[in-house]
Amino acid sequence: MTNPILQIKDVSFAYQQDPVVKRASLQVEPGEFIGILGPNGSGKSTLLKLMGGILGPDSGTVLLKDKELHDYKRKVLAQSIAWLPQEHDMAFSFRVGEIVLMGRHPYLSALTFESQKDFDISNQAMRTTETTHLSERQFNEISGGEKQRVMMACAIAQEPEVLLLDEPTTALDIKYQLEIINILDRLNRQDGMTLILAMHDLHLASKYCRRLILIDQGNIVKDGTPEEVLQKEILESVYGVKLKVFHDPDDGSILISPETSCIR
Amino acid sequence: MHTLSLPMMNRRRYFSALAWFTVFFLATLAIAPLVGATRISLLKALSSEIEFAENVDAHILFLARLPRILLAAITGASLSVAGAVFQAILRNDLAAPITLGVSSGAAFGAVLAISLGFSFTVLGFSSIPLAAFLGAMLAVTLVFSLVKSRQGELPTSIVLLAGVTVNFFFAALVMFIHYLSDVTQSFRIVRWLMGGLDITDYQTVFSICLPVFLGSAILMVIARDLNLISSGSHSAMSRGVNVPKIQKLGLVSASLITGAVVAISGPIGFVGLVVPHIVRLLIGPDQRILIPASMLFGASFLIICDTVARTVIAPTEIPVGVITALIGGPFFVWLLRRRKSG
Repeated sequence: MTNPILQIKDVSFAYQQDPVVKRASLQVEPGEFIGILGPNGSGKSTLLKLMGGILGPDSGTVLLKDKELHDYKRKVLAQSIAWLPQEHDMAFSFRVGEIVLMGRHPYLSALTFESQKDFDISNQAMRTTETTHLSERQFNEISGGEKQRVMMACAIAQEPEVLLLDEPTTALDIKYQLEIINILDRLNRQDGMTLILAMHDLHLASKYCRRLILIDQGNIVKDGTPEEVLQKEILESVYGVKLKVFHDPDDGSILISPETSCIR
Repeated sequence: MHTLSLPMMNRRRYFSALAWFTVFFLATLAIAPLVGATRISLLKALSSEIEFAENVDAHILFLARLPRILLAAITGASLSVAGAVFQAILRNDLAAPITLGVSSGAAFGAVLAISLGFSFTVLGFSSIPLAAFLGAMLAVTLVFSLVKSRQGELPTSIVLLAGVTVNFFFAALVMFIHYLSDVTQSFRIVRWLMGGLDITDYQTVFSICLPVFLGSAILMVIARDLNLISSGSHSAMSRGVNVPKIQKLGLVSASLITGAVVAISGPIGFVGLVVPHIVRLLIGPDQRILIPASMLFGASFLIICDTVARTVIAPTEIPVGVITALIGGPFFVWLLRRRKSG
């Protein structure tokens, strides 16, 4: 039994009055590949931001290696945890290469340039995500799938132990979805990077994630293996629709399909 | 091969861009003093055979033109760098000293001092610049106290709305005071509001150097953090930027710089809004280049505009704010169109 890398203890958070995350607790071991599932507005993104230290909890604690997130200096924390938003809105048109280099920020002090090492790491991250050919392009001019891969290169250049991704595949077509998820799978298996993804695609989640956390209205409803979480009764009560759940005969992954007259 | 050359390209781009902007700045700085309503001879001005008190050319060069050109350079540099930083922090193209209410706050301070007939000096600063500076700071404080930032997310559109509102509020106060004042005061108020670099000496120029250099030094130190903030404040946080701290440092420094120069030169429009955009179109949005390049280009730009303002219908001078917009506007539009088609 290894020590947990990330611990969330009794965490609550509200943007205004209504709590978005309610007394959530969970532990993450190094090297896990976790999918966070739940309906729109269930608190997936907020939970992810709390884990990344982007939001501070109203009550409860978030610990990275037994130390509270807000006791870390931002740069030190950023060397361990990276977070990728769902959408990438650049105010100005940076080049792709410049954006990937920004991932090196936590390792650089003020008034310095990136060193050869930073360039090497960034170049390697672009090779991993197959974005090398884009490096001279303007970020605002590339496609959605390319943007997602470029931002992933940026996060990889950051060399985090834990990578948090907010719906990295939701806006993409199936080819790009698979590209992204395969890159993540490699990072997890080869480099041992701990991955936590908020996602909507239940099938993709069952196929790649080894652990799923289902949340609904800010509460963790179920936390376990895909087999344990993706059960007909649980999903039907959380999503409020009638579902059919069956297994892919080839790889045993779980397929979910709505009943024809689906709204209960 | 291509990927390996990218890093080198970046650094080469950086230094060659800065070199060009420096050359351009030095050229304007050298040529502008020789241009003017009265033709002067550089040889005669620098001649050691003529007594300085009797050397008219030297008087014009060293006492009339040079301090004015230095003031133009510092003012142009300051407004431009402030604009560049406001735009990065607020992630918005329209952020500038004018749209954030800084300029009208300064105008309010100055106009109040003129109409109440203040005449005092503190630490060598006379009453009008001092009042203008305080007005600028008051405006910035007002704008940002109207806006509550939660968890480092500055609501850009609300900040800009607050800025424009504060701008109108102070403009109304200025109009009110102006309306109540007598003819002599009224004339001085109008002249101040038009902005100008004409009444100056070396002491005035040096007095604003300290806040300007201090502010720009801080901005250079946080340049890379500003890059990250301009590409999203939550992303910046997750890359190790202390977003609320950098936002405060940036806004205070940029406001300090603006307040200092607006207090002396009056509200010169357009420079702070458009120079950063021009420089960004030329060399990209990296603040590490953008900050020094905007300062150099902004300085050159205002020197050129002021030279035009004082020569085009000499001996009458045109307010420099008229020229900045008349030259800068079409140039900016041309550059925008060229970029779009290219």
